[in-house]
Amino acid sequence: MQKPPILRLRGVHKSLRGQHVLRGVDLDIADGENMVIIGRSGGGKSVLLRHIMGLLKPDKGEVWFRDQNLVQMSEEAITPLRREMGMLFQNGALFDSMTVGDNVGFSLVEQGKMKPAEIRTEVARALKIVDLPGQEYKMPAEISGGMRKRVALARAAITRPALMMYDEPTAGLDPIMADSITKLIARLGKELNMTNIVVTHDMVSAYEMADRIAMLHEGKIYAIATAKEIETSDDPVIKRFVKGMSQVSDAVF
Amino acid sequence: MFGLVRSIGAGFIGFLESAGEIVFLLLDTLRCMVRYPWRFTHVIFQVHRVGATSVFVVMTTGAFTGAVFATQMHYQLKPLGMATAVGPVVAVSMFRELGPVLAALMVAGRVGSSLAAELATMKITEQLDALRALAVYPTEYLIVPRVLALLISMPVLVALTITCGILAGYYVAVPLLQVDGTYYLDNMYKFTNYRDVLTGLIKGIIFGFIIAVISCYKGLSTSAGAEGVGRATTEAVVNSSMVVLVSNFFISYFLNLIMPATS
Repeated sequence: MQKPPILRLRGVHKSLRGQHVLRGVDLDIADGENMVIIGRSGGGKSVLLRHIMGLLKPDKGEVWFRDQNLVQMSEEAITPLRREMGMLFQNGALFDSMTVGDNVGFSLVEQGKMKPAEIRTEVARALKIVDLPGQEYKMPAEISGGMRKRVALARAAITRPALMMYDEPTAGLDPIMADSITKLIARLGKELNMTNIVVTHDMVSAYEMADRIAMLHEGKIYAIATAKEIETSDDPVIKRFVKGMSQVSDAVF
Repeated sequence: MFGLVRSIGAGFIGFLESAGEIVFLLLDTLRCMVRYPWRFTHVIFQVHRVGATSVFVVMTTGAFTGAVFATQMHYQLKPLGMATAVGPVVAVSMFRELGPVLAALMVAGRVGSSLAAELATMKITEQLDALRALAVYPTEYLIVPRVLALLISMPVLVALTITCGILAGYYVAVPLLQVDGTYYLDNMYKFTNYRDVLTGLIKGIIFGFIIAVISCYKGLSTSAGAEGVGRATTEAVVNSSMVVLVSNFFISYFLNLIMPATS
């Protein structure tokens, strides 16, 4: 049985710096689903995530989270809704003036429901889950890119949001680290019963995580299918992307 | 010719746009000040950052301005037999104009640049988006404490500038240039009153507000890249200094209407 969608995008258009990046995106994401969005670099995948978070407003179209249309809401009205969403930014976007521990515990402190001691325990637990135990007092500048990403993951997931978004979680990581992040995302999704939206062009992790894969191509959702269907697709556009084949016209030199 | 008109027009529209955006930021800040509880620890941290660390700079500025002003005034007034008038001249001008304006210019240079650079860096490293994504409204979290810190710090810094200026003026005029100390002080008390003090402090508060809002706006509205941060920083200092100087005239004019300088 199909669950009702947690998220619905209808005809989303967006131009940025004179470029028409999104040209009418329609997408439904079911509650509890693991959706992977693939597509070429610069194709608007990150922009799409930002629309779902309400960080950007579309020029045209609707973004429905549960039964609320984010497009018609003010920034201030969207803010509390974002407690139900989490986002892992591409470079982590940790607050560089705070320690790792303060970063991870940020949302808990802001919500103000827990005592400082409880927050410390929770932060320690979250850091252990992302395999960084005891790193609370380091500054973001002192840790590596992969560690920063995991800290950011802990920070976004600590409040157990209903909807988690990952912007290229494995980009720039070695294959082993990439695999551990992939497994972590899948595990968090299952354990905390979260809906995951993962933007990536790492096909290995896409196949591993995805219930469904959506391909963003030329500003539209070109195809939505299960991982298996995408892997075995005969469609030339999909095939070229998942097999990583360039054409002469794609050459950059 | 047409190109010139067009670029002037574009510049003018750009100016109106940013003026409008600054007004929006200002209104948003005021609204957030009323609407959300204040983050006192953040405010205190910012007061230390923008206020406490500026103390030495504004004291030096005030002291040497007062000293040089007393020296020059003494050369002008002594031949007229009015050497003791140096006291009130230094005091009134420190209170009404020099104190607030000089403190504001120094703070614009020190604090305006650092606020703009900080916020601009947060913006280009996506930390502002991360803040929004973590369900925190940036105006309330970042801007309000910084504006409040400047509103609290500026009157104090202005008072310090004025105090140092008047003291330095006294120590230059009386021991060094041998003006009669008793008459110097007596004249100073006679021609300086609470309206002068009030003028200085009101200006301090207004200038603090101007510097905070313009610098925060410049930081928040930066474009991508290291160059954007650099530009935001420069523009924050230049624009807030200019607005301070221009608005100073109008504030003086207005305050002189309701609180005339003569006693």
